[in-house]
Amino acid sequence: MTPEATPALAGKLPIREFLRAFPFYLAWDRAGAIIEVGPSLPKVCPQIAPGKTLNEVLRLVRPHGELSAAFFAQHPDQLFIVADRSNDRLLRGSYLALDPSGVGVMLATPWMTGPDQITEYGLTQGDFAVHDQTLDLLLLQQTQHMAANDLRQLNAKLIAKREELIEQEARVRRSEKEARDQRDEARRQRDELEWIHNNAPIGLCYFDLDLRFRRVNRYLAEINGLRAEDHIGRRIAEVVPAIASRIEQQARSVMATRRPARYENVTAVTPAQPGVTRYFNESWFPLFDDSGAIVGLTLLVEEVTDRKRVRVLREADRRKNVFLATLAHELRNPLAPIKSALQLVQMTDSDDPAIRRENRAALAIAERQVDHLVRLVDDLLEVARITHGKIELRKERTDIREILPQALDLARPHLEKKRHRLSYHAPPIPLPVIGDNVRLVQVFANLLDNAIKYTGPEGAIALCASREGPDAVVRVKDNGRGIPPDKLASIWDLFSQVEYAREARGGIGIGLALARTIVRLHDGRVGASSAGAGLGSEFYVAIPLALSGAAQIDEG
Amino acid sequence: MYGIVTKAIGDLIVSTYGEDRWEAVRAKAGLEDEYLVSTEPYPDEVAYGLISAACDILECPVDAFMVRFGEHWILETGAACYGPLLKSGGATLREFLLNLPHFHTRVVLLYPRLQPPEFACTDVTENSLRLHYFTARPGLTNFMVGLLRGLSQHYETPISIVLSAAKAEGADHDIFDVAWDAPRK
Repeated sequence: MTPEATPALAGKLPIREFLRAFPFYLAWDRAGAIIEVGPSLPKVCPQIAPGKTLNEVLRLVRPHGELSAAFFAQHPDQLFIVADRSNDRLLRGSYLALDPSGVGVMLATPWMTGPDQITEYGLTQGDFAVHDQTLDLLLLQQTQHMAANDLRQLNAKLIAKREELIEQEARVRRSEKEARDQRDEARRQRDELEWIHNNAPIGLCYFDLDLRFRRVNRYLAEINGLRAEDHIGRRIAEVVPAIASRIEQQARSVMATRRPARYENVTAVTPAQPGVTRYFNESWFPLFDDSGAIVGLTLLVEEVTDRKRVRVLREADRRKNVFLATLAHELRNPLAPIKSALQLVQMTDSDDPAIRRENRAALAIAERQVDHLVRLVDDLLEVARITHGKIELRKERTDIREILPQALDLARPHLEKKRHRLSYHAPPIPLPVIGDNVRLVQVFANLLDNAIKYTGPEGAIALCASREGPDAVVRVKDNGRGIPPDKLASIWDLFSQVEYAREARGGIGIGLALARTIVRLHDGRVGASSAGAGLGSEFYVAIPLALSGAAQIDEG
Repeated sequence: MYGIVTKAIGDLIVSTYGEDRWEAVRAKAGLEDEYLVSTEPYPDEVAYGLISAACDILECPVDAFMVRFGEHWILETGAACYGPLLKSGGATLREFLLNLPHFHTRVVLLYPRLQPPEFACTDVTENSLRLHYFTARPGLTNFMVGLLRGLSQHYETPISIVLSAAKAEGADHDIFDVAWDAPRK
């Protein structure tokens, strides 16, 4: 835009005042000779001074052209950039034609690209006109520089933070992976334990302190005849009522002692197999928490029924073998004297009375031995009948006091032979029972025979009858060899003999078995006790007393 | 106030008392996670909160802290952030003070959301002037005293400062009668 004074300002613009607003101005004449400079310009461009030409001290940077007064005049609306030839400092500004004579002015200001240049050029802010935006630009630049610096610092912090977060994330991922691996391992171990728990060929269960089932494995569930999950939360009595009191007693004992416990060969009739006695080994372990307090109990149940049966069968087989050997011996023994007697008779057949007497004696020996063989065979037949349940009783009302002397008569020869002392006691009151007289005599004779057999010569044997509660009880006591504790239960079994029996007095081990069978057929019971080997024994038989008027006679 | 003010408070505390105390001050002022950008405006409460927390934690009277802050503003903050411009503010203390009104007028343009103080110089002699300090913010009189002391040190020109009118005591604005021994160039 051409600077033309409006009519209103015509002649009113004082040039000196105007130029004061541009302290870096320079003015030249028509020939391009500098005639005046502003007060601040020499500080920036000391070479620009009156008397020098424009072209001498300045170089035109923009626009393109030849630096001269005329060139300025030809571009009144142009922004000029010129450089001080001596120091390359730039001046920017516009051209102003002052008067028709050709005096021109450049309304210049130094161009600065950094705040440092103010002092570098030897200037202060007071050297600039108030309207000059150079200072504003430099201030803005400085502020932007400061902001950029802040942002760089922030960026550095963010980068550091990001790296820290990346590291944290990596740590978290590592921790997560470790946790995942641990979880997987724990799960695998738990699955293994679960599998073992479920498939172990042994019963396993856990109880809480109220003795309620917390967990039960499949094996035990099958024993109990109840699904494993149906155990949970139930009390023992709700699952196995028949053995609950025993189980709870064991559990409470473990809780009290805080120690494991083991119970072997426990018998139980389980819901899974009603009516079948099964054998178990039971082991208890208390469960503790970290503080050492008991939090529950573990029960291991191992069924040993098959093992027990095998043991029983082996024992039976062993007894059978012993029995066969004994039987062979017993059968063989009489045969030798019989054979000798017969040979003697055959060789000495004569009418001589003396010889005939000897022959009769020999035949008598043979007859006794044959009788013995008959008794042995009868006993074997008895065994067969017992085995097949074919014993028949002829029951009638009788009195134990009348039966015992008959048994004593049968045993007396053996008693006398071993010179035993016998004491016999029977109460003055009746001991009525309903029974087979002959068989009961056989029972007590067997007991006496057993006592005689296992008591050394000149021993003491006592036979005692009494009324005990609802029973008539007969006891046979001796001071013989006694019975080892582990044999007390088995001595009543068929073919059972204590090891030293054979050396005692022969026999094939069926006397006590026969006695027990007969007593049981009379609804009675038998028992034996001994303080141990060498300390004597006591056998007893209890048969229900026949109450007057109420007794019935069984015929079978 | 712009972030440069709060950053300057931080610089003062870190350089004088250490990073730990500054972290404690930030925590007390609730600014643990804030990153303050110099050229961004923040509520005045941020700066006032930091000053209050600093005085509590450093067990320093507010007046003394503000004087120290004013000195720090000239000698450290100004030098670091506006070094060349500070230098070009004037060859002498007198020249600088006379330029002060223009400079803050330019600051208005620079920070459009700032309410910068306004200065005016009257009764100017070769060895003294009366500096009028107009501000909407309370409690900055001692900060102004610190600024003048900082300038005195910067120009190595001992000065006397007399608060001849105080806004806190009902005056329209604070007026400082500033005098110096002799001009130094």
